[in-house]
Amino acid sequence: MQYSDLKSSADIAFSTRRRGLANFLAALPLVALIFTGPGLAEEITVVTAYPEEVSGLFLKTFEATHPDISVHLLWQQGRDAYRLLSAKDHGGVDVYWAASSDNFPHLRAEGAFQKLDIVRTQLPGAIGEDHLSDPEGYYEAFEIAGYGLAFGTQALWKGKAPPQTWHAAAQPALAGKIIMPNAGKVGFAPSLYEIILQGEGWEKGWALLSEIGSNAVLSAQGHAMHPLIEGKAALAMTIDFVPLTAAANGEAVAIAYPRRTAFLPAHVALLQGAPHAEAARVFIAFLLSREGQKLLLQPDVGRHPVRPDAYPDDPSVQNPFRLPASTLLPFDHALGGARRTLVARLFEELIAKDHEALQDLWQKIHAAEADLQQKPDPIRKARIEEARHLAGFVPVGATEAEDKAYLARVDWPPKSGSDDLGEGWAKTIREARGKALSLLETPVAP
Amino acid sequence: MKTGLWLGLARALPGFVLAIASLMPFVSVSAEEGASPPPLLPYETAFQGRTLYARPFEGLSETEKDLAAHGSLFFHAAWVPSPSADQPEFQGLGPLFNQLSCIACHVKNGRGAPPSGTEPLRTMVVKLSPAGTDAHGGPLGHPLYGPQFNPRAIPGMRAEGEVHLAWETTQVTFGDGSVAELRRPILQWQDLAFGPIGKDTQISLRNAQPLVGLGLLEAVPEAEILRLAEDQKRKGGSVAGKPNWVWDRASMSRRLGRFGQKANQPSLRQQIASAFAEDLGITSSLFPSESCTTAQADCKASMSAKPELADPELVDKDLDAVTAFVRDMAVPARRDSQNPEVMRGEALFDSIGCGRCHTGTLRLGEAAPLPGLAGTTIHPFTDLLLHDMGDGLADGRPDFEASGTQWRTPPLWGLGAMPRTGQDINYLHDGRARTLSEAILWHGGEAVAARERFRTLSSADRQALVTFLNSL
Repeated sequence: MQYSDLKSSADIAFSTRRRGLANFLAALPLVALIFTGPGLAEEITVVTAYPEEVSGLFLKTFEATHPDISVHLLWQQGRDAYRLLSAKDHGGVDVYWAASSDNFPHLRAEGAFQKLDIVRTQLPGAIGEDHLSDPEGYYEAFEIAGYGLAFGTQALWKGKAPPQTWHAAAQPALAGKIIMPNAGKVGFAPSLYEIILQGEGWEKGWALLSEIGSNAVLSAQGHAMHPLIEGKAALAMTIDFVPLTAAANGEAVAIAYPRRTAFLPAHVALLQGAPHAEAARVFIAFLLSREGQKLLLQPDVGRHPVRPDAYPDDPSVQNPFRLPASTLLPFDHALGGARRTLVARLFEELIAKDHEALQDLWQKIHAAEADLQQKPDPIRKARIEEARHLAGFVPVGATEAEDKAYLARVDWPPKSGSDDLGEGWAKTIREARGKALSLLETPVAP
Repeated sequence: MKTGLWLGLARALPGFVLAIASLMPFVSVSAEEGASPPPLLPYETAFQGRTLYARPFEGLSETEKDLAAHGSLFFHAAWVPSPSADQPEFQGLGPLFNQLSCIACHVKNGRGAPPSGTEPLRTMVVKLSPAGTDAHGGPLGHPLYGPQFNPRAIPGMRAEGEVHLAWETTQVTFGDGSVAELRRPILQWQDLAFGPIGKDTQISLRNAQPLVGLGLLEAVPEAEILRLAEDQKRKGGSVAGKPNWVWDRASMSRRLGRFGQKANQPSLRQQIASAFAEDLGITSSLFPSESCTTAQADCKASMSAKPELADPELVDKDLDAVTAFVRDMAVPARRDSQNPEVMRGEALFDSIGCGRCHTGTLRLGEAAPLPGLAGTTIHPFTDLLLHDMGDGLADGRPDFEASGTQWRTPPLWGLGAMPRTGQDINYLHDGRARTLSEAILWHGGEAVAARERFRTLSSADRQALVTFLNSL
């Protein structure tokens, strides 16, 4: 696909030249002469979930260079967008432009998209072997965002080396000082936790999340950097554009990318039967153009372009295309998209629902481990290890977590009576945690 | 532009970090060479980054902070049509609307900006009225399009059309022979869905205004504002501000107006509720009805099953929270107030008469947004009164007791901080002025004498005055 600016619409020549301030100010009594002209602009409808800081900048720039196309934004998050776009006429929408790892493959499978004619010269659609775009060309990566640990540069983390692994957030010393976005309430959180689950493995990943969760204040908002700035929190698990934009606006925060993190894409697609397909293609071409992609580097946007040629020749600017492949997790996008709902639901069951009890259990484990350091005892050591294992227990096996039929049974939020999973999970979690407590509290026979 | 990039990678793989703040050029703009830091007033923020219009007062109670944080969600949220599975708390957009969110117009809590070309208005609205008044003395809504033109509609609804701007320009000669170009907007309607606007329609183009210090302006006692009006009247001359008496929907009574560009809203809460209703199509207890006209059949039909007050889309507790969020915005601290050039400009500002309306000092009453601020003096550079600004700025649309040529004196605090937000620079109610000089040259009516004194100042004096304004 080649991007080229469209020709400007008809000039509007109302310019006058009159000498004399008094004449000018007084002669025309009202704010405006009113001209009613023929319709000049074709209006395309774009469904997005980008915040105003992003969508507004792109629209403003696009419309300034394409006065013959105006963009009507319809803001819809995942399920609302899916409902609209999976309708018979796709809601009259032309373009879907969002970060939604599950909607794009589902809608493509339903035949909702037209194929995009992408020329791969400057748009690789992948980082190395990691495909960001639909290999069949029905939706294209628009930007990528990394995931990591944010910290305050002038507060609790001041002077410390940036954390290098996700495990940093599980340190007992940071109890109550970790911000963890609630996967059921913050859009990017399921992907964040999916990176850990794929990086650590399903069961070890949930055990780590459980331990971090016990340290954490759960946040219903994804943009909570103020606790870091004000010294109320040490680390925040986050998508990178949140601290990047905060820092670019003058806040004392930074982002550290732990080992084996990932940069995940947002996409753009053209709807099948789009009422204004030609104009929509121009808009998509703009989004993917070098000019459009460079907007992603603006301070209020903080995303990473998918075009390598949009990055400045400046080694201080993070360019994921230049990272050694070994530093990033080989992320399974299809799996990540498929089990977003399961991750959100399990986060609720394992971490959010009974958060105080989880905190209490892990505090007891940490206390027991500290005590064990002082008084080594092989029997007690085995019990504490078993208690740790049980505290991080996840009631869904790794095989089930990749099984399409199983995943199809999971809802978020859970509909009353829609499945029998929740009760069963809750029961086994209670049993595991009860056993863990029992192991910790039962005295070792002398 | 270097500042357009997020910079500062200090990468140490495995595990790498982006630490930006210390390297961003715009972070360090606060300390200009040779300037003395101004003393920080209790309602000011010292923050000088790009979000300096969006900093709450220091010293708020935890309760107020929590309320404002809740309100921030509603201020920043993109509203969605009903019903929403994902965001039921933000559902109810439209059916007709201008924008999806408050922040879309008040970008970074600051001013909007006119489009650079013929693209649609993104941060501006057009108010429409026939001649006459409603039962409370306020403007009537246009019979076809309602009180405000809404170029957007939810799916399945017919939007009202498009409106674009063109510009008419002229040149003005200063006393020293140099020339400035002025421009004013020309509205161009397109694809009007419900018939012509009508040549007799009163039309007012408005740009979104900054949201700093509004809680302080609300805490200025009515008597203080009326005293300023009396003072101006007693002094005689052309400057004679007058209060706007408007309808207060909460108390169902006439009250002094102080918010809005014609001081047509008596309280911050009503101003916010009005914007939700007219800009986003979000109902509240103060504005319980969608503004569908009889010509807008599909809009009307969508409302038929929705009795007034039964289910406002923005419930009172959330309206109160948004009000708290806006009320608690601090004022950016002045910069370089001790700079001799700034001080000279300030003296000129007063000597040529600008300060007669842009009153430098007001005193807060008991309802101050922070404990301890009651009785404190503030420096908003407004008298909160209406003044005749002449035909050049007139919109010809009366609003309660404000005539078609009258506007409320806009506060000037925070004015010079605008470039730090990174947004486009413009001034006046419709963004027509691209520089402060242009804004001053547009002053007419009661301000003709001050404007002419400015126009005939030397270039150096004009620059000093502008330097003073940029220190605010």
